[in-house]
This record gives sequence, structure tokens and C-alpha cells, in this order.
Amino acid sequence: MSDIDHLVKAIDPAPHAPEPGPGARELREAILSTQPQPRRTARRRPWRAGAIGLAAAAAATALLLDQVTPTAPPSPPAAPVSILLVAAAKAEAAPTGAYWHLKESSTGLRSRPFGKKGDTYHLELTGVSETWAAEDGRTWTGFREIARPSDLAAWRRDGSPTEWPMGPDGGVYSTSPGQGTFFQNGRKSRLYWSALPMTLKEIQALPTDPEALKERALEAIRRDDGAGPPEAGLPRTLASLLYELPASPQVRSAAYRALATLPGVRVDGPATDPQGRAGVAVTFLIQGDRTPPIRLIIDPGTSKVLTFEVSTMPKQEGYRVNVVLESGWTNAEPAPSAP
Amino acid sequence: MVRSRPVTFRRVPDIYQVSDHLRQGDAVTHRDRFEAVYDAYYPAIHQYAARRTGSPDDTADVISETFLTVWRRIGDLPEGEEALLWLYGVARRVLANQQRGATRRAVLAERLRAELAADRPVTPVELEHVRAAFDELRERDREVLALACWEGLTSDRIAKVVGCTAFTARTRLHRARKRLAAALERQASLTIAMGET
Repeated sequence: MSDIDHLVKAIDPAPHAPEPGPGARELREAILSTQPQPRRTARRRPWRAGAIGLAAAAAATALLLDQVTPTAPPSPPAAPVSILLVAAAKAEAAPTGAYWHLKESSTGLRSRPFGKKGDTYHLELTGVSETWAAEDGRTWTGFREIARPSDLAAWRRDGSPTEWPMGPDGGVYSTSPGQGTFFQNGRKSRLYWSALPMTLKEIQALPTDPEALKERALEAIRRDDGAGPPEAGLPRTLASLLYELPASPQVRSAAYRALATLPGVRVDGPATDPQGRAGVAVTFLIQGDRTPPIRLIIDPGTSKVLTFEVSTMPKQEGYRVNVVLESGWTNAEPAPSAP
Repeated sequence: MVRSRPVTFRRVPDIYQVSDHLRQGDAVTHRDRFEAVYDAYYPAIHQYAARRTGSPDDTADVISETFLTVWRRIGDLPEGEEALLWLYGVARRVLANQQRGATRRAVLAERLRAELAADRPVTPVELEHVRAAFDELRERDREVLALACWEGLTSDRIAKVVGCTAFTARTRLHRARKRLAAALERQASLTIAMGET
């Protein structure tokens, strides 16, 4: 420490760590009694493709892709588009099934490495989660996680452990999926659209006009007083209607059209998702804020969102790819899935 | 659809919380995690806030706003020691917002405010000139110096708190030290000129 540093240290206005008093404890309880709200940050927001392959959304996908592909012909005239949409809306049957069901896997790297100093490896964590929601508000979730070392040689040199401590808070990562968890939520809960809690009915009653939907999305985002402009949250908030929430085909269609109007939308071209399914990748670059870009792989034939990825580079911290395994309405009772 | 959003209750295990949590690589509930982090880092955040605010009320507000944000974003909280740096980053933003006149969470920090009113730090008289020289510096300089000397952070860690590269943090710190040295010299000559009053 330099002399200067010592001088600065000497004028530390609060040199001694305070002993937390009852006020601190009270504050802790007061905060815990508030609702923990989600924020539209990348790491946090799991993205699930909820979209059932629906013609309306498919048409809108095509529209989205047309509008943003530089090499695409000029936007198709309004008439055929609206015909497509009308046809799609007609073709679409009302959702059937007692439960909205979503199953997806999410893979990301754990930020801190394991192993010996100078010979470390990362853990790639894959969680498979399932969520069910019934019209009456009951919800269930199943979850199972498996860990895999990123560098097998380094892992062997580390003694080939099959379990790793999660951190100071306890818990272990394991190479075997174990029992996982499955249970019903203790009471009726809302679904969250960005920071806005909503009922299934409210979700289905969202605007079907892209501009109106965008406005509502901004309102939902503003419910959260996080930093950054609300517009930065638009891509993920709108996209959540494509797969995350049981939105109507018309709303999904509007979400696609609204997404097409966002600045920073870029079609990357054909892409294959981690399940080997073919689709078209679309990236949403987000200006300002420190939100990393998100990339969707969409099946243009069905409008299904196959995967979404968060962050800048694969295999780096913050990178996460979520793969939609199943989504839609079902009559099958919620139950834990086989490992 | 819902997993990321800790929903309406906490005492009972919440499926979404639990699964979102596991996704973050953690076996405990959000509530447990928050309590652990609060208990571990309250003193550090308290100090951080006290060092940078002018009144106990403001200190209490920064503390409560910081931890409220942490609770809201509990799923974003990094593991291990990174958590403290992340907390500093949150507190830093809260401070910036507070100085822009953001709303106060009057109710939450009621008791804390009263508690903090009791003890306020003072700079020893013989170091007034250092304080004066320090205060002369630009906010950017003061920020890195304070993080280095009061919070005891390395430049790598400062970079994480203020959101710049390690190189930038190092450079800023270096320049800030030089500017403080210059300011101290000015203070010294000023004191001499004033006849050591």
C-alpha cells in the first residue's frame, strides 16, 4: 500500500464494520416480506418456447423473417398478409387440454472453475425443467440437473470426481441426475410477464395489435424498477409470449409482428438447435443497457421457438442455451418425468 | 413460463423459486440465499453506504434500497466472493440514483434510520487537509481511491464493481493517486500560506 493509500485509508469515514443492530434485522425481515420480483436480465430470465405450432404465428414468423431479411423482397402487400393471418386465426382451434405444459432444458457454464490451481475445468450444468399451469391457477414444477466437466482430461487429473460443492451456501453438483424435484405449488400463483403478474385469462386477453402489445409490454417491464431503459427489455418480453406464456395465437402473431419492428433485429440465417432441429436464427441486439443480445432459433414452418440463447459467445460465462423440448396444452396429469 | 418468477409465497417451497434457483446452481431457496447474503455482507454494505452518504437517513436508505434490489434480483446474484462485488455494484447504482433524487423507501428502513442517527463518523482534525484534498478530486478519482483504500479492493475487483476493464481500473487508480498527491501538495502550501491556522 502506498503512502497515498494510507492517507486515504486514514480518512475512511466509516473505518469500523458496524455491528448490525435490531434495525438491520428488522430491515431484513421487511425486505423478505416484499415480493421478490423478477428482472429482465439475461442470466435470470429463462426463456421457454411455449408456442404450439400455430398457423397464425407461423404466418407472422414468415412475415418477421421477410421484413428483416435484407435479401428478402419488399414486404408483401398488406392484403395477402392479412389473408394469411385471417386464415390462420380461423384455422386455429381453441387450445385444448387442462394444463399448459412446458418442458425445456437449459445449459450453461458455471462461472467458477473446479480443479487444481492452473489445471482447472468448468462445469456445464444442464437442467431439465417442466412447468404445468391449470386454468384455476394451480401450478407444478419438475426439475432435474446434471453436471458435466467441460474438460475431461483436466477432470481426470482432478481425480474424476462425480460431485462438486456448489459453494458456501451448501449443495452439490452431480454427474447423475438423481431424483430431481417435482411438486405442486402450495397455492394459486400468477404467471409473470416480465414483472407483471397475470392470470391465464389476462394473458389470453392481451392486445392483438403489435403497437398496443408493445405498449403493454413496456408497462409490464416498468413494473420492475431495474436500471436501464425499458425498451431494452422489449425483445425478451415480447418473445416470452411466443413460447413462455400460454398466449393466444393472435397475441403470438402480434408479438412476432412487434418483434419485427424492433431496432437491432437481425436474421442470421439457417441454424440447427442443440437437438438437431433445423430452424432460422434471429438475433436481437440490445442497445444501451448491459443486456447481452439474445438469439432465437425459430422453426419458420410451425412458428415454434426451438431454442433461445443468451449472451455473447458460446462457452463463456453468462452464455446459456435453452432448448424447448415440449410445450403446449395437454390433458396429461402433471407428473415427474423419468430421468 | 413461471419458473423465473418467484411467485406469491416464500415459506412454503415455491416450485419456481426452487427450480430457478437450481438453475443458478444452488440448492437452497431464494429466501435462504438472501438471508445468508444479507447476514454476510450487511456490514460491508453498511460501511460502503456510510462512507458515501451525508446523513444517517441517506445511509439507511441506501442500505435498504440496495438489499431490496438484491432480493428482487436474487436469481442474478453470483456465487462466492463475486456476490460482494455485485452488491457493491448495486449499492453504487442506488447511490447514483439517490443523488438524482430517487424515491425513498421510508417504511422499510424506519428503525435502521433511528439507529444510525446515533453514530456518525468524523474525520480527525489533523487529517482535515487530506480530506480537503480528497474532496477536491473528481468523483471518478474519489470513487476508485475509496474502493481501493476503504473497501480494500484490488483494481481487478474495482473493475467489476464499476463495470470497466481491469486495465481501465488500474489506470484510473494510478492517475487518481497522482492527482491526490498533487492536491495534497496544494493543500500543504495553502496551509502554510495561511500560517498553520
